[in-house]
Amino acid sequence: MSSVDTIQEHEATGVSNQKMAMWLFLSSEVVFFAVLISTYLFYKGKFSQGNLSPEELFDIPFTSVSSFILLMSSLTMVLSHNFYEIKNYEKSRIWIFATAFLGILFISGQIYEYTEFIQSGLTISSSIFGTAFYFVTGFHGLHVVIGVILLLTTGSQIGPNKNNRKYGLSIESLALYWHCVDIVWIVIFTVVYLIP
Amino acid sequence: MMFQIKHEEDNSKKYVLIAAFLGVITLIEVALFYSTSFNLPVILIPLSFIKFLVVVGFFMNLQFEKKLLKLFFLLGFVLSIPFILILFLERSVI
Repeated sequence: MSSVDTIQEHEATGVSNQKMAMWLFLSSEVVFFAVLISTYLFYKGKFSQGNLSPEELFDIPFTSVSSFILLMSSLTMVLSHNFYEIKNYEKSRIWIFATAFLGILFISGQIYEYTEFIQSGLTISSSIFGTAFYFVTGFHGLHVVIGVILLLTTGSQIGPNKNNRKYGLSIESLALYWHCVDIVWIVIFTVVYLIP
Repeated sequence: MMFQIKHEEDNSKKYVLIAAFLGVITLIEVALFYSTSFNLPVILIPLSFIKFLVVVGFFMNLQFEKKLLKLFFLLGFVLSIPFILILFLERSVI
Protein backbone atom coordinates (compact mmCIF):
# COMPACT_ATOMS: atom_id res chain seq x y z
CA MET A 1 0.00 0.00 0.00
CA SER A 2 1.48 3.37 -0.98
CA SER A 3 1.59 6.27 1.41
CA VAL A 4 -1.11 7.97 -0.65
CA ASP A 5 -3.50 5.13 0.05
CA THR A 6 -2.88 5.31 3.78
CA ILE A 7 -4.44 8.82 3.95
CA GLN A 8 -8.02 7.84 4.54
CA GLU A 9 -11.00 10.05 5.11
CA HIS A 10 -12.81 9.52 8.36
CA GLU A 11 -16.02 7.69 7.50
CA ALA A 12 -18.33 9.60 9.78
CA THR A 13 -17.07 13.13 9.09
CA GLY A 14 -15.87 12.94 5.48
CA VAL A 15 -12.75 14.86 6.51
CA SER A 16 -9.27 13.34 6.61
CA ASN A 17 -7.89 12.80 10.11
CA GLN A 18 -4.79 14.89 9.36
CA LYS A 19 -6.86 17.85 8.22
CA MET A 20 -9.18 17.58 11.20
CA ALA A 21 -6.18 17.38 13.55
CA MET A 22 -4.70 20.47 11.89
CA TRP A 23 -7.89 22.49 12.42
CA LEU A 24 -8.07 21.34 16.04
CA PHE A 25 -4.45 22.40 16.49
CA LEU A 26 -5.22 25.80 14.94
CA SER A 27 -8.15 26.10 17.32
CA SER A 28 -5.79 25.56 20.26
CA GLU A 29 -3.46 28.19 18.76
CA VAL A 30 -6.36 30.65 18.74
CA VAL A 31 -6.85 30.08 22.49
CA PHE A 32 -3.11 30.40 23.13
CA PHE A 33 -2.68 33.70 21.29
CA ALA A 34 -6.02 35.14 22.45
CA VAL A 35 -4.86 34.74 26.06
CA LEU A 36 -1.35 36.09 25.31
CA ILE A 37 -2.72 39.16 23.51
CA SER A 38 -5.26 39.78 26.29
CA THR A 39 -2.45 39.57 28.86
CA TYR A 40 -0.48 42.11 26.85
CA LEU A 41 -3.46 44.46 26.79
CA PHE A 42 -3.81 44.23 30.57
CA TYR A 43 -0.18 45.16 31.15
CA LYS A 44 0.35 47.55 28.25
CA GLY A 45 0.42 50.60 30.51
CA LYS A 46 2.78 49.08 33.09
CA PHE A 47 6.15 50.23 31.80
CA SER A 48 8.87 51.45 34.21
CA GLN A 49 9.31 55.11 34.99
CA GLY A 50 12.17 56.47 32.90
CA ASN A 51 11.58 53.93 30.11
CA LEU A 52 10.09 54.98 26.80
CA SER A 53 6.35 54.35 26.36
CA PRO A 54 5.14 51.90 23.65
CA GLU A 55 4.10 54.85 21.45
CA GLU A 56 7.61 56.31 21.66
CA LEU A 57 9.31 52.95 21.10
CA PHE A 58 7.40 51.51 18.17
CA ASP A 59 8.61 52.28 14.67
CA ILE A 60 5.27 51.99 12.84
CA PRO A 61 6.55 52.46 9.25
CA PHE A 62 9.09 49.68 9.81
CA THR A 63 6.55 47.30 11.41
CA SER A 64 4.06 48.13 8.63
CA VAL A 65 6.58 46.91 6.05
CA SER A 66 7.15 43.75 8.14
CA SER A 67 3.39 43.21 8.31
CA PHE A 68 3.09 43.67 4.56
CA ILE A 69 5.87 41.11 4.02
CA LEU A 70 4.05 38.55 6.18
CA LEU A 71 0.77 39.32 4.43
CA MET A 72 2.41 38.74 1.05
CA SER A 73 3.88 35.48 2.33
CA SER A 74 0.29 34.31 2.76
CA LEU A 75 -0.21 35.09 -0.93
CA THR A 76 2.89 33.12 -1.96
CA MET A 77 1.75 30.23 0.25
CA VAL A 78 -1.71 30.13 -1.27
CA LEU A 79 -0.15 30.30 -4.75
CA SER A 80 2.07 27.35 -3.88
CA HIS A 81 -0.96 25.37 -2.75
CA ASN A 82 -2.87 26.47 -5.85
CA PHE A 83 -0.12 25.26 -8.21
CA TYR A 84 0.17 22.02 -6.27
CA GLU A 85 -3.56 21.40 -6.78
CA ILE A 86 -3.22 21.88 -10.54
CA LYS A 87 -0.17 19.59 -10.48
CA ASN A 88 2.35 22.27 -11.46
CA TYR A 89 4.88 21.04 -8.92
CA GLU A 90 7.79 23.18 -10.12
CA LYS A 91 5.86 26.41 -9.58
CA SER A 92 4.52 25.07 -6.30
CA ARG A 93 8.09 24.54 -5.11
CA ILE A 94 9.18 28.02 -6.24
CA TRP A 95 6.33 29.69 -4.34
CA ILE A 96 6.96 27.58 -1.25
CA PHE A 97 10.59 28.79 -1.20
CA ALA A 98 9.38 32.36 -1.82
CA THR A 99 7.17 31.99 1.28
CA ALA A 100 10.14 30.74 3.31
CA PHE A 101 12.21 33.69 2.07
CA LEU A 102 9.51 36.19 3.13
CA GLY A 103 9.27 34.42 6.50
CA ILE A 104 13.04 34.82 6.97
CA LEU A 105 12.75 38.51 6.01
CA PHE A 106 10.02 38.98 8.60
CA ILE A 107 12.11 37.30 11.32
CA SER A 108 15.15 39.39 10.36
CA GLY A 109 13.00 42.50 10.81
CA GLN A 110 11.86 41.27 14.20
CA ILE A 111 15.44 40.63 15.32
CA TYR A 112 16.39 44.16 14.20
CA GLU A 113 13.37 45.57 16.06
CA TYR A 114 14.28 43.66 19.25
CA THR A 115 17.85 44.95 19.04
CA GLU A 116 16.59 48.52 18.81
CA PHE A 117 14.20 48.04 21.73
CA ILE A 118 16.86 46.46 23.94
CA GLN A 119 19.20 49.38 23.20
CA SER A 120 16.36 51.73 24.21
CA GLY A 121 16.08 49.93 27.55
CA LEU A 122 13.08 47.66 26.92
CA THR A 123 14.08 44.13 27.92
CA ILE A 124 11.98 41.13 28.91
CA SER A 125 12.67 41.93 32.59
CA SER A 126 12.63 45.74 32.52
CA SER A 127 8.86 45.97 33.13
CA ILE A 128 5.63 43.95 33.00
CA PHE A 129 4.96 45.62 29.67
CA GLY A 130 8.32 44.34 28.35
CA THR A 131 7.57 40.79 29.50
CA ALA A 132 4.10 40.83 27.91
CA PHE A 133 5.39 42.40 24.67
CA TYR A 134 8.26 39.94 24.18
CA PHE A 135 6.01 37.00 25.05
CA VAL A 136 3.36 37.90 22.46
CA THR A 137 5.72 38.85 19.62
CA GLY A 138 8.35 36.25 20.58
CA PHE A 139 5.93 33.33 20.54
CA HIS A 140 4.59 34.54 17.20
CA GLY A 141 8.16 34.78 15.89
CA LEU A 142 8.83 31.25 17.13
CA HIS A 143 5.83 30.06 15.11
CA VAL A 144 7.24 31.82 12.02
CA VAL A 145 10.62 30.13 12.53
CA ILE A 146 8.95 26.70 12.85
CA GLY A 147 6.92 27.51 9.72
CA VAL A 148 10.05 28.46 7.76
CA ILE A 149 11.73 25.16 8.74
CA LEU A 150 8.63 23.21 7.64
CA LEU A 151 8.45 25.21 4.37
CA LEU A 152 12.10 24.55 3.53
CA THR A 153 11.72 20.86 4.37
CA THR A 154 8.54 20.44 2.31
CA GLY A 155 9.86 22.59 -0.55
CA SER A 156 12.92 20.40 -0.87
CA GLN A 157 10.75 17.30 -1.14
CA ILE A 158 8.53 18.36 -4.04
CA GLY A 159 9.35 19.19 -7.63
CA PRO A 160 9.76 17.56 -11.04
CA ASN A 161 10.74 13.87 -11.09
CA LYS A 162 9.66 13.37 -7.48
CA ASN A 163 6.76 11.50 -5.93
CA ASN A 164 4.73 14.67 -5.38
CA ARG A 165 1.27 13.21 -4.86
CA LYS A 166 1.94 12.06 -1.30
CA TYR A 167 2.60 15.65 -0.11
CA GLY A 168 -0.90 16.95 -0.89
CA LEU A 169 -2.22 16.95 2.66
CA SER A 170 1.13 18.12 4.04
CA ILE A 171 1.10 21.21 1.82
CA GLU A 172 -2.52 21.91 2.69
CA SER A 173 -1.78 21.57 6.42
CA LEU A 174 1.34 23.69 6.09
CA ALA A 175 -0.64 26.36 4.22
CA LEU A 176 -3.28 26.36 6.99
CA TYR A 177 -0.56 26.73 9.63
CA TRP A 178 1.12 29.58 7.74
CA HIS A 179 -2.15 31.47 7.20
CA CYS A 180 -2.93 31.04 10.91
CA VAL A 181 0.45 32.59 11.76
CA ASP A 182 -0.49 35.44 9.41
CA ILE A 183 -3.92 36.07 10.98
CA VAL A 184 -2.35 36.11 14.44
CA TRP A 185 0.01 38.83 13.20
CA ILE A 186 -2.91 40.78 11.70
CA VAL A 187 -4.37 40.95 15.21
CA ILE A 188 -0.99 41.64 16.91
CA PHE A 189 -0.16 44.45 14.47
CA THR A 190 -3.45 46.21 15.15
CA VAL A 191 -3.80 45.55 18.87
CA VAL A 192 -0.15 45.81 19.95
CA TYR A 193 1.29 48.37 17.55
CA LEU A 194 -1.49 50.54 16.14
CA ILE A 195 -4.04 50.99 18.92
CA PRO A 196 -2.71 53.50 21.46
CA MET B 1 -19.24 34.79 -8.80
CA MET B 2 -15.96 36.71 -8.98
CA PHE B 3 -14.25 35.26 -5.92
CA GLN B 4 -15.49 31.72 -6.10
CA ILE B 5 -12.42 29.54 -5.58
CA LYS B 6 -12.61 26.26 -7.47
CA HIS B 7 -10.05 23.57 -6.75
CA GLU B 8 -8.08 21.94 -9.55
CA GLU B 9 -8.01 25.13 -11.62
CA ASP B 10 -5.62 28.07 -11.66
CA ASN B 11 -6.93 30.65 -9.18
CA SER B 12 -3.72 32.69 -8.98
CA LYS B 13 -5.25 35.90 -10.34
CA LYS B 14 -8.07 35.77 -7.79
CA TYR B 15 -5.56 35.24 -4.98
CA VAL B 16 -3.43 38.18 -6.18
CA LEU B 17 -6.54 40.39 -6.18
CA ILE B 18 -7.43 39.27 -2.65
CA ALA B 19 -3.85 39.98 -1.50
CA ALA B 20 -3.97 43.44 -3.12
CA PHE B 21 -7.19 44.12 -1.20
CA LEU B 22 -5.46 43.08 2.05
CA GLY B 23 -2.49 45.31 1.22
CA VAL B 24 -4.80 48.29 0.63
CA ILE B 25 -6.49 47.75 4.01
CA THR B 26 -3.07 47.64 5.69
CA LEU B 27 -2.16 50.94 3.99
CA ILE B 28 -5.43 52.49 5.19
CA GLU B 29 -4.69 51.26 8.74
CA VAL B 30 -1.25 52.88 8.74
CA ALA B 31 -2.63 56.12 7.21
CA LEU B 32 -5.33 56.24 9.91
CA PHE B 33 -2.69 55.71 12.59
CA TYR B 34 -1.05 59.01 11.60
CA SER B 35 -4.37 60.81 11.47
CA THR B 36 -5.37 62.44 14.73
CA SER B 37 -9.01 63.04 13.88
CA PHE B 38 -10.21 59.45 14.28
CA ASN B 39 -11.04 57.23 17.22
CA LEU B 40 -8.48 54.56 16.29
CA PRO B 41 -9.83 51.43 18.04
CA VAL B 42 -13.31 52.01 16.59
CA ILE B 43 -11.93 52.02 13.02
CA LEU B 44 -8.86 49.77 13.26
CA ILE B 45 -10.51 46.80 14.98
CA PRO B 46 -13.20 46.34 12.25
CA LEU B 47 -10.54 46.77 9.52
CA SER B 48 -8.36 44.17 11.20
CA PHE B 49 -11.40 41.89 11.51
CA ILE B 50 -12.09 42.24 7.76
CA LYS B 51 -8.48 41.20 7.00
CA PHE B 52 -8.84 38.30 9.41
CA LEU B 53 -12.07 37.12 7.73
CA VAL B 54 -10.61 37.45 4.21
CA VAL B 55 -7.53 35.35 5.06
CA VAL B 56 -9.58 32.72 6.91
CA GLY B 57 -12.33 32.64 4.27
CA PHE B 58 -10.33 32.74 1.04
CA PHE B 59 -6.72 31.77 1.79
CA MET B 60 -7.58 29.11 4.37
CA ASN B 61 -10.67 28.23 2.32
CA LEU B 62 -12.77 27.88 5.45
CA GLN B 63 -15.89 29.18 3.70
CA PHE B 64 -15.82 26.13 1.40
CA GLU B 65 -14.97 23.65 4.15
CA LYS B 66 -17.29 21.32 6.00
CA LYS B 67 -19.35 22.69 8.87
CA LEU B 68 -17.41 20.53 11.34
CA LEU B 69 -14.13 22.33 10.55
CA LYS B 70 -15.82 25.72 10.87
CA LEU B 71 -17.05 24.65 14.31
CA PHE B 72 -13.56 23.49 15.30
CA PHE B 73 -12.12 26.90 14.44
CA LEU B 74 -14.94 28.70 16.23
CA LEU B 75 -14.29 26.49 19.26
CA GLY B 76 -10.93 28.22 19.74
CA PHE B 77 -12.62 31.58 20.18
CA VAL B 78 -15.29 30.18 22.50
CA LEU B 79 -12.67 28.40 24.64
CA SER B 80 -10.55 31.54 24.96
CA ILE B 81 -13.43 33.51 26.54
CA PRO B 82 -13.23 31.86 30.01
CA PHE B 83 -9.45 32.31 30.07
CA ILE B 84 -9.78 36.01 29.26
CA LEU B 85 -12.49 36.36 31.93
CA ILE B 86 -10.15 34.75 34.48
CA LEU B 87 -7.49 37.32 33.48
CA PHE B 88 -10.00 40.12 34.07
CA LEU B 89 -10.82 38.72 37.52
CA GLU B 90 -7.14 38.31 38.39
CA ARG B 91 -6.46 41.87 37.40
CA SER B 92 -9.33 43.23 39.47
CA VAL B 93 -7.96 41.31 42.49
CA ILE B 94 -4.45 42.77 41.92
